[in-house]
Amino acid sequence: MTVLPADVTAAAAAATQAGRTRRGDGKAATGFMAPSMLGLLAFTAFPIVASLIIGFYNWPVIGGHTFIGLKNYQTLLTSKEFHTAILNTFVFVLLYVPVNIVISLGLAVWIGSKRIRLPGLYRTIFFIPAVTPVVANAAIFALILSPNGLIDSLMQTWFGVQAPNFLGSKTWAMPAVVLVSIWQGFGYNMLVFSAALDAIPTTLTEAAAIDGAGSVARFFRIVLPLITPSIFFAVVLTLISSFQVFTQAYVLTGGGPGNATTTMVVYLYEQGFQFYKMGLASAVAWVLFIIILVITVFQFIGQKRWVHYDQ
Amino acid sequence: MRISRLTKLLAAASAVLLLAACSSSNSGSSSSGSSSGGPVTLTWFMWSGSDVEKNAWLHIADMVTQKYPNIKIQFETTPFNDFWTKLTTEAASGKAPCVIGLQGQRAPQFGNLLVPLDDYMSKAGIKADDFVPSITKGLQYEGKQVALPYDVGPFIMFYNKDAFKAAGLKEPAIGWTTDEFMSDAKALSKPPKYGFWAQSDIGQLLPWVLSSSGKAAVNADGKLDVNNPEWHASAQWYTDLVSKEKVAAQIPSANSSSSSANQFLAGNAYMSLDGPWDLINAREQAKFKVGIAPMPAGASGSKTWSDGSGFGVTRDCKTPDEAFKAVSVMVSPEAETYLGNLGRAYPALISTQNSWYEGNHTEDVKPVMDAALGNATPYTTIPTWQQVVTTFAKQAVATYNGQGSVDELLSQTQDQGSS
Repeated sequence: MTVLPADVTAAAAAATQAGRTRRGDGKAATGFMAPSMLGLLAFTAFPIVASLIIGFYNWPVIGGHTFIGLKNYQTLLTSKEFHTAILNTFVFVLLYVPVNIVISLGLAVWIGSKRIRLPGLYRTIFFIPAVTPVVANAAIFALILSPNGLIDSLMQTWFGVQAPNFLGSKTWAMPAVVLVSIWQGFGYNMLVFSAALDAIPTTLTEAAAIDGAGSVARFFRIVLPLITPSIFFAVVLTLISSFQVFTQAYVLTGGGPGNATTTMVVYLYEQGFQFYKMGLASAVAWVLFIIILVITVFQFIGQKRWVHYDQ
Repeated sequence: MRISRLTKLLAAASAVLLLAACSSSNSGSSSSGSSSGGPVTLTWFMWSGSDVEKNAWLHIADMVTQKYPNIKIQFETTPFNDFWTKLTTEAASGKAPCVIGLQGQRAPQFGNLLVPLDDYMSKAGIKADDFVPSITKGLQYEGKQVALPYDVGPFIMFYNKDAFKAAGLKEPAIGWTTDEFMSDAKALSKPPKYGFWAQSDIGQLLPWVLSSSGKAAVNADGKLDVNNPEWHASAQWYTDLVSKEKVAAQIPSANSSSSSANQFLAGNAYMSLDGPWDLINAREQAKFKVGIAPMPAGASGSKTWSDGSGFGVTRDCKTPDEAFKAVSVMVSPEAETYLGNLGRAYPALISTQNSWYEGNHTEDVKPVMDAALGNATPYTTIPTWQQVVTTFAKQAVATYNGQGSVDELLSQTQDQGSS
C-alpha cells in the first residue's frame, strides 16, 4: 500500500495525457487515503457491523455467546427501565437543545455588537468550558451543587435556609444535568454563530437601518434569516450529541436518583460495562442510532421550510 | 476496474487487521519463558489508589524475586474501579494476567477465571487455618480456594470522639445497642451537622439487617433474597434515619462512593460505617480523635460483614507453578508484616496482625477489632452482584430521601438480582 514518489511523478506525468487523468489520480488518492480509510474501517466500520451482529446474541463478556435473534430488542421493548431511559433522553433533549441554541446565539450577538471592545477575548473566555474535559466540569459542578457545597453554603449564610439537594432529588437531578451540559456545550455553538454573524455583509443591515428598521426588526428580519444555515447546522449537531448524553449524568448522579437521569447511553453503559450484557447494550445502541437517524432525516426534510441558503 | 481496486484495498486492510490481531496476542501473553527452574516473567495485576500504595506492591514484587530469583514480576495497576473492567476485557480475550488481586465480594463473579489452589496449598504446606476464616471462606469459589487473602476487615462504626465528649455522651463501646445509637445520633444531630452519615450503598445497610434479624443478602441456596420482611424492616428503619428522625443528612447522589468517609472526616457527620482499611488514613487526616466501635447490637446481636482481598492465579497463566510460588510469598508472614506495619492492610494472616497495631499505634482498637471480627460473616454475593449494587444505589437515593418506597427499593433490587 505504500506510495513511492516515483508513482506520484508517474501519475502526474500520466495526468498530462488526455484520457488517463482519472486513473492516475485515483491511484495516488487511494494511497493518500489509505491511512484514514484503514482507521475508519478498523475503528468505525468494524465496530458498527460487530455491534449489529452482537445485538442478536446473548453475549456476556466472559464465557460463550449464543444466538437469540431479536430477543434483545424484545427485552428492550418490554423493559420499563428502558422506556424510562428513552423518556429521560427526550426530556433532556427538549430542555437542553433550545436553551443551548438561545444562549449561544444570544452571546454571539452580544459579542458581535459594536459596543464590545475585545470580541476575541470574550469568545475565548466563553469557549473555555467547551474545551474543558466534561468529567472535570461535572466534578466541579457536583461540588457546587451538593449539600454543604457552594450553593448550599451561600444560601445558608445569606438566607439561613438549606438549598435543595440538587443531585439527590428526582425533581432537581435532571435540571442539574441539563445545566452542566449547557455550561459545557454553549461555547461551540457560540463560535459557529459568531462566524455566521461576521459573514453578514454590513451593507444589508445598514440599508435596512436607513429604511427605518429598528434593531429588533433588523435582527429578526435580516440577521436571523441570513444565519439560518448555521442555526440548522448547530441544531442538527447539538441534537445528535444531546441524544448521546452520558458523561454529565454519569458523573453527577450515576443515573439516579431512582432512574431519574438514566438516559439511553447511561442505560447502555450500565448494561454493557457494568452488567456485561454486550448483546443488550448493542441493541440499545442500534435503537438509539435509529431514533437519531429518523429525527435527523426529518430535520433535513423540514429545513426547506425555514433555512435560507441564498444571500 | 474500480471494484477490483476496492477489493484490493479491503484485502490489504483486513490483512493489516489480522496481522495486528496476531501480533498483539503474541506480545500480550501473560507469561513467558519455560516452566520450573528457568527464568520466568509473571504479570501481576493489582489495584492501587496512590503512588504510596503502588510502591508497597512493588516492594512485595521484589520480595518474590528475592525468594525465587528466577521469577520476575511485571507489575500492572489501575485504580480500584477500573480494575474490574480491565480484568474483564483481558479475560474475555484470553489474556488475563498471571496473578491478580481479588476482592471477596467479587469471588462469585470472577472465581471461574482462577485456578483452584487447594492442591498447591497442601503441597507447599500453607494452611487455610492460619488465615481469618471469614475471608478464607470469602475467597472460595464453588467450594475451592481460588485466592489467598492478604487483608480482611469487618465493617465497623467510626465515631468522632471529640463530638461525643463535647455533647457529654458516653462513647460507643463493645455491647452498645441500636437504641443507644439512635439516642446518641439524635443528641449529636444539629443540621447541617448530623449524628450519622447514611449512604446508598447496599453494603451500608447490610450490617443493620444482620444485627436486627441475622439475615444476609444471599440465602443458603446462593440466591439473592432481599425482598422479605426482615430487609423491609431494616430498610425502613434506615430510611427513617434520613427522612423521619433526621439524624442523617439527605443522600447527595448515587455516584459518591467515598462520600461517607469524606463527610465523616470533614466533620459533617459524627458516626459513619467504614472498614479498618480507612482507619489509619482517617486518623492522619481528621482534625479530631477517631474512635471505632462494633455494630450496635440489634435483636440479633452485634453482627457485621467482613471482606478482604487476596491473590489468585488465573487459568490463562502458562506458568501456574511459579505463579503460585509468587502468591505464597505475597501472603507470607514477611509480606503481611510489611503491609501491616505500613497500615496498608489489616493482615488476614492471624499471626501477623500485631504488626498493624504496633506499626500504626492502634493498639487501643484491638478489643473492638477482635469483637467485630468474631461476629463477622463473609460478604456473600452472587455472580451478578454489580447489577444488585447499581440498582440498589440508584433507587436508595430516592427512597432514603423520601421520594420512593422501601418496597420499590427492595423489589427492584430483587428483580435485578434474579434476572
